[in-house]
Amino acid sequence: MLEQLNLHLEDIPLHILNMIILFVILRQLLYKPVRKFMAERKARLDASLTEAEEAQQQAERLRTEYENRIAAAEETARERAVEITAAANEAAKSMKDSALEESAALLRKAREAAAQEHSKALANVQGDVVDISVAIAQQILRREVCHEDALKLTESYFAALAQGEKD
Amino acid sequence: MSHAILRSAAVLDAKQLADVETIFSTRLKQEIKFELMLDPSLVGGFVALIDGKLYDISLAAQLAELKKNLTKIKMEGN
Repeated sequence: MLEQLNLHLEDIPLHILNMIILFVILRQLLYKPVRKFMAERKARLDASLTEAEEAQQQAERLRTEYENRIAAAEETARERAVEITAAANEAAKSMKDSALEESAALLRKAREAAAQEHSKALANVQGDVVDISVAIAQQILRREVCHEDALKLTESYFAALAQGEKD
Repeated sequence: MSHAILRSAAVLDAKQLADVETIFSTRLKQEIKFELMLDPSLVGGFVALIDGKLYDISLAAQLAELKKNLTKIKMEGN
């Protein structure tokens, strides 16, 4: 059977030795360099991964810091907006109060002026009434008073004078 | 006899003047003779000036007094 397959038992050690030598040679020339290459490659990859992780962590830290700064700035802006709004409201209230006071003062002055004008007008009218009344009386007296009346007036005058001297 | 001036609102005849002189003479206990002057602004009555003393018996003076009193009442009323 072995002869049919063209196999010779005395060649087997040779073949085995051949295999061993081949294995050793391949190990030295191929396996070790490839293994070294793979190890170096793995080391490079690990270094890159580590660097990438560090970079990612750095980025994360920066992002967190950025977000904190943004939040702080927003908080500051909100507080400032509240302060400004409060100040504006206060100023508006103050202006409104001043305007109200001023308008009340103007109203008081206007009322006083109107009352004064009213009194003045009333005095003028009453003065006119007195003048007109006296003028009418004058006209009537000028027309109606006769000499006898003038004599009676004279007597009354002296009587009053005498009474005044007695008092 | 005292010299006097009489201003009258109306023209007086001799009798009317004599009436006035009589009253003044009686009241002042001296004889008065008036020099007559016409002054319609007196409205009625007389103004006599006797020995530097003025006797204002005119209606104009009384109307002025009335006006003063009316004005005073008005001011006190306000």
